[in-house]
Amino acid sequence: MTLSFPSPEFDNAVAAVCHGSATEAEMRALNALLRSDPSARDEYLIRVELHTRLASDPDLLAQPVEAVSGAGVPDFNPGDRCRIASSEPETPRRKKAQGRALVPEATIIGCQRVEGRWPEKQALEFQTVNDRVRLGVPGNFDSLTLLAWVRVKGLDRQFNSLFMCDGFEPGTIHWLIRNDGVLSLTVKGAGPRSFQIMASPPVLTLDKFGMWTHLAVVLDGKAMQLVHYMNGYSVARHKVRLGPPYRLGSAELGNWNARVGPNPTPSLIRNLGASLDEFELFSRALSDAEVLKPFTEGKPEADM
Amino acid sequence: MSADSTPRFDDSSAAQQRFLSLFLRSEREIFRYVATLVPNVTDAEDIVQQAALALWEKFDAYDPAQPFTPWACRFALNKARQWIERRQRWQALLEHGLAEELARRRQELQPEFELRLKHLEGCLRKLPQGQRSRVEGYYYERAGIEKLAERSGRTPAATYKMLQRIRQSLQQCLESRAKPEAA
Repeated sequence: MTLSFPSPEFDNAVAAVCHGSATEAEMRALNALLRSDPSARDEYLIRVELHTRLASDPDLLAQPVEAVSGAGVPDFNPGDRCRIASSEPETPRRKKAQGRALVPEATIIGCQRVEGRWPEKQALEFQTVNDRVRLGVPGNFDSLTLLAWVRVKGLDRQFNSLFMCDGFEPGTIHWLIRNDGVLSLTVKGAGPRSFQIMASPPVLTLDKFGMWTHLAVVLDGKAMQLVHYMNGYSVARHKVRLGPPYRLGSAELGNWNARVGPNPTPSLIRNLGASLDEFELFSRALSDAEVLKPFTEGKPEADM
Repeated sequence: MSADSTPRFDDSSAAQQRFLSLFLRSEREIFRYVATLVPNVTDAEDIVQQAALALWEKFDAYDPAQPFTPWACRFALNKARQWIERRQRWQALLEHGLAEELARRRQELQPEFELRLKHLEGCLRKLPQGQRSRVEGYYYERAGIEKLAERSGRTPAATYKMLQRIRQSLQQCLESRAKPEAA
């Protein structure tokens, strides 16, 4: 048996060596070829290197389901704050949860680590229909504030989830971006047809795609007011009809568990096509100044 | 525990810790070095295991002023040679000095590999979901061809071909991404 390069036989022999299934004759033929042809030898080495990188670097492939228990007070009390910052370089496979009180547990499903707002800062990229961060937030709240650094790649779905409570339960919320760039927060009331959609004008327009954008929404159940913010400034204010208590329960970042069967209709698929650098959740209404602060302090130089 | 046994215990446990921390930091590199000669993952892992034992036995002789990885790779190369000597098939692949030549050439190509393979994560991400899950199954879960075939309802031969095609498209992606930088 002899091998030539390049040839399908060469490809097969290299693959078989990598899989450990090559015959002695194949190996002998490969030996003769690799000793006589330097370009075949280099090609062999790069293929083997690719093979062994894939086999030895689990981080490349890891789609781990990571459970992260938050330290500190397990309850999410009024006045407390939950902050989920995606993993820092020194803890590449750990998701960091910080803050005074935390969501008891958050789980990353799928998602990719990508560069965040500046080099060495990591973000989570949501790309496929399965990518999501699941969290459980027990309790009832009079007010809520949600903030996130987002870099939108594309608004492929009719509704692109930022933070969505599972299903459509009374008192829960859905925070999302519509495909026309509208920021929207829905509050669900008690009855089956009771809900209020509070939307901004189309603000997340094409020119914002690919840029780090700070988004926030304040649901103030005492003042019965809702405010959408983009890059620190309000872009829409609404009177809220459906008052507290608000609940979160099980919810997802970057996706939605619609609690329907295995083949949801397209409008129920609401995965986000974006990177998320930080997500913060407060169980109170932040003021305009408090929303502006994380934007001015955290904006990446080049993007603004 | 008697007074004089305590320091001995601490010494050996400190040495073990020192060894482990050095070894774990170098393990991937040692594995890749061994896999240049024996690319089959399971076999390469066996060899690295044996090398680890030999390294620990000779750890007294390690000079901390020298980098650990090259020292460890020399042991690993010896272990790989012994392993190959007992296996006729692998001997056929690596005889007439090819083992040494591959190890030497890999060293030379290292910078180019780094350049190309730094895009690996990005290229993996671009794979269609089905292909990606096969790569994961094979490399991450170490599922084996038979199991992957069973999972996807294909024959082992078809699964094997599929993996080969995925590797080809990964390689093309890596090459296309490395080129603009080289230009």
